[in-house]
Amino acid sequence: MSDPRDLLEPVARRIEPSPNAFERLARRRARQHRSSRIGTAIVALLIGSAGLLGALRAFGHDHTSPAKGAVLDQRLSLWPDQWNLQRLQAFADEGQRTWMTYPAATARRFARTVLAWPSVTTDHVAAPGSGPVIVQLLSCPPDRCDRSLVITVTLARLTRADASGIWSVIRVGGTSLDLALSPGSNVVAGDDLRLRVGPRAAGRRVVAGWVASEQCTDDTGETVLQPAKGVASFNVAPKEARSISTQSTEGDSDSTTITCSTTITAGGGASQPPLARPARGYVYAYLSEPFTKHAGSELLGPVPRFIGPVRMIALTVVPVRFVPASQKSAVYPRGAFQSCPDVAGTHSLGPHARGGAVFTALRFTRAYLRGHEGVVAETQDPSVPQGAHWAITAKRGRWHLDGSDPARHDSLVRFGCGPAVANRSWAVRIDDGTKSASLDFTLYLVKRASGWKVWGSY
Amino acid sequence: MERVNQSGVADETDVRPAWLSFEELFRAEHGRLLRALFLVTGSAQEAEDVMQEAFVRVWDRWDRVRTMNDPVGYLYRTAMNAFRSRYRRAARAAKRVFTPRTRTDEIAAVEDRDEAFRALRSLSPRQREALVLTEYVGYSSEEAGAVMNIRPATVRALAHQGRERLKGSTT
Repeated sequence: MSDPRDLLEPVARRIEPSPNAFERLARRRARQHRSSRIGTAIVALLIGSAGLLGALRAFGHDHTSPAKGAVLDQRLSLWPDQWNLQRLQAFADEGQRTWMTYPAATARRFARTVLAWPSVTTDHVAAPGSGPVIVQLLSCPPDRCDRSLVITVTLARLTRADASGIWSVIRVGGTSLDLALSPGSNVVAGDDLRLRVGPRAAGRRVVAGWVASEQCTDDTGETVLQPAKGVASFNVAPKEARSISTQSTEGDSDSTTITCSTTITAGGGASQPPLARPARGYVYAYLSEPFTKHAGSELLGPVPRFIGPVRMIALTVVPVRFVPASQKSAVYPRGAFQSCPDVAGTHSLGPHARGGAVFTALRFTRAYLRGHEGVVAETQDPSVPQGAHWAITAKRGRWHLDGSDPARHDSLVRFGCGPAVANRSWAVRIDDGTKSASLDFTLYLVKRASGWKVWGSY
Repeated sequence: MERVNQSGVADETDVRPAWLSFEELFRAEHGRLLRALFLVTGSAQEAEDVMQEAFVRVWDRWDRVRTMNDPVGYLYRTAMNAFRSRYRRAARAAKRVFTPRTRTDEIAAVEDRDEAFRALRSLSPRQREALVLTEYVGYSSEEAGAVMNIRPATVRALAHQGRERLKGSTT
C-alpha cells in the first residue's frame, strides 16, 4: 500500500453519519444545559448559604480584615477562556496542569501562548494577601533584558479562593501601553478611552479596539493609531448587533432553544442601532512585531493567533462592562476605578490635609505589599469591594513618595467618579522604585470621621 | 480549505466559506469530522460521542467562533482535544482497574480482522491524529500543527512515522 490515503479512505467510508445527527446533537446540548442549570442552582444555593453565614459573622464580630475566599466574577477572565475555567480547575484537582495554581507560572504561560514570547523572565511578583496578584514579565533571557519593555499581568483566582484554585489573567498592561481602566469597570458606549503610551510604542503603529459579547449581542471594532509618547485616546462604540428570540416545542423541554437572528446585513454597520443594554467584553491595544492587524474577537481566543515570527511587543487588555450612552448618568464608577466613595460623611479638605493623606497612603502601600490584610482593611474606604484590584506594584525597599495634591482637578477622578468625589479626594503619587515612570501609581483618599481612607488607585 | 500563512493572515487566493449559522457548519462538516474521528479513535461509538462533544462546545461559543479566521480549524482542534482528554482518562482508569475487554460493537469485531484497520490501530494516538489530519482531512502541516497545538515540523515527523509504520504493517 503505497499511499496512506488509499488505506484511510476505505476505512473511513465504513461509517455513515446518522440522518438525524443534528437533532441528536440539539437534544444532547439541551440535556447538558439542563444539568448545568441544576448545577448552577446548587452552587447558587451554597453561595447564598455561605453569604448568609458570612453576614451573620460580620455582624457578630469586628470586621477589620477582608473576608478570605472572596471570588471575583468569572467573566473577568481574559485567559484562560471563562468557559473553560471549571474544566481546567477539574484538571488541576486531578493533578494535571498544576502550573495553573501558581500565578507566576500562569503569567509566563500566558506570555508564551498569547504573546508568542520565546523566552520569558519574571521580573517581580506582588502577592499581597489573598487578593489579585501582579506579575511583571520581560521578554528576554535573564542575562540580557530590555527593562523598558515590561508587561504587567494581573491574575486572580476566579473559581476558588483557596490554594488549590487556578489563576486567571484579569488585566494586562505595561510600560509601553496601558489602558486607564480597572478590570470589570464601566465604559460608556461612544466614549473615548485613554491609552498611556510609553517611549517604545511612541510613533509606531498600535492597534486598539474592543470586543463586546454577551449572549446574542456582539460587536467588535479596531483602529490603528500612531500615538506620540504620553496619552492617546481612541473611541469605543459597541452597537447592538443582534436580536434574540426564544423557541420552544410543546411537550419536549429538551428542544427549548434561544435563537439569535442577525438583524444587520453585511456592510450595514452604519445602520446598527446603538447599544441598548449593558454588555460584557474587553478593550485592548497592542504593538506587534512585525506589524499585524487581526480581528479583536480572536485576540484571546482559544486558537493561537500568532503563527510564525509575529510576537507581541506590548499589550494591554482589560475586561469591561459596556454601558449604553442612554444610561450615562448612572455610570459611576467607570474608567480607572472599580468603586467610588460615598461623599456623605467625608470631610472637606483644608490646606493641612496633605500630611494625614500621605501618612495613610504610605501605611496602606507598605501593608498591601507585605500582605498585612488587617491594616489594608482598616485603611481602605468602606466603599471598596471585596477582592478589589489595586494598581500597586513596587520594589521592596525602593519605593517612595513622589508627591501629593488635591484631586479636585484630576481628570481620571472627575471622569471615573464625578466632580463631587474629586472635590473631596486627595491624590498621593508613589514612585514604584523602578526606572520606569509608567509603573508608578497614585492612591486616592477621602477623609472620614474615622480618619483617612484609601478608595482607589491608578 | 483556508490556508494560513506565516503571519497568521489568510491568503487572499483562498476561498473561505463565511458560516452564517451553526447548523450550516454542522451540515457541511459533521460527516468528514465523524470519519476523521473514526480513523483516530478506532471506534464508531466513540467517534460519534467525541464529535457531538466538539460540536456542542462550538455551538455554545458560536458567537465568537463564527468571527474567527478558521471556525473549522477550531472545530477540529476542539474535537482532538476532547479525544485526547478521553484517551488520558481511559488510560488512567485502565491503570487503576483491569477489566477484561468485552466487545459490544459489532463493527469493531469485524474491524479487528481487517488488516488495514489493525495497521491503523498500531499507531500511537498522536501519529494517528497527524496522519488523519494531513492525509485524510487534507490539512497542511501548519494547519494540523494549529489543531494539535504542536509545531508543523513535529506534525511532519509524526505523519512520517505513521506512514512508515503503516507501510511496515501492510506489506
